[in-house]
Amino acid sequence: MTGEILKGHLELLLLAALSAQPVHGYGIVEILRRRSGGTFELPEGTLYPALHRMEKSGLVVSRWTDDTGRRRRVYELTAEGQRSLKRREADWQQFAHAVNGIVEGIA
Amino acid sequence: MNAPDSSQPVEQYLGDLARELRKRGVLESRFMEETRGHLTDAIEAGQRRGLAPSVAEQEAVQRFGEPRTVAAKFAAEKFRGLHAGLLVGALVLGLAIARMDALPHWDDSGITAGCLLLSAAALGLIGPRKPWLWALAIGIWIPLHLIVSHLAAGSFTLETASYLAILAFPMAGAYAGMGLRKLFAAA
Repeated sequence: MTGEILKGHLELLLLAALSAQPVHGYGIVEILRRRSGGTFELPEGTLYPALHRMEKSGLVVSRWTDDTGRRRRVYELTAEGQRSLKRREADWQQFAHAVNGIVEGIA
Repeated sequence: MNAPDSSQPVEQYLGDLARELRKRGVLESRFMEETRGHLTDAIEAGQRRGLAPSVAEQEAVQRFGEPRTVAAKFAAEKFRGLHAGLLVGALVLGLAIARMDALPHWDDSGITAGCLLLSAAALGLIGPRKPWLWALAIGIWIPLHLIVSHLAAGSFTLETASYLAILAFPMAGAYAGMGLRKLFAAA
């Protein structure tokens, strides 16, 4: 699936990928790839501008770590990020339900 | 496992990305370090999947995206929201300078030109992606006022249209500001 289709949903995907624990950039890519069964392929470098924007708007915070012997910047949801994830999940469920209802009606 | 963070494709990619970011005035060490770490992780993951080091390196840089695309996205996010604010600022500054220039006792064109040049330079420095827009928003009001006045008085000539040359001052300022920003980013 291309980046263009994902564009409108990228923040929700990133919030969901960070919901369990702090994760670094490549870890987020792995989570998205694993959970989507390899469906989501977008230029990985374009995740960072989105993460930086989300940090600026208070949805995530980041810090450098070197737990594995190499410096990595890990991202973590803030309380506002958790609330935003819940809201967006609910909106998405409603949207997906509505689209499914229409598409199944065609079949 | 080989040390992937010193590989030639990675260094080449980082060089290309840095150049694209610098061109847009948004080169940041944090993003460059994150990119290096990301590519290193991706190469290691590729090698764990059984890829040869050179194939894993190629795959990692390919998946990260074209340097131009990534830099453009980064710059777009960086300047998101900023441009609307700058445009309002440019319009207010331009109108204030035009108002000052239109005062009956004002006859110092040098100060007016300096104000146009410096205010556009400041905006070009803050928002280097659209210098022409800041120049127009700041500089259009004086020639517009003069041209409309002449039109209303029925004295419009080709010479009147040459008032548009006043735009050269904010244009020069805005592009100088943009150039300074790129120099700072490169340093």
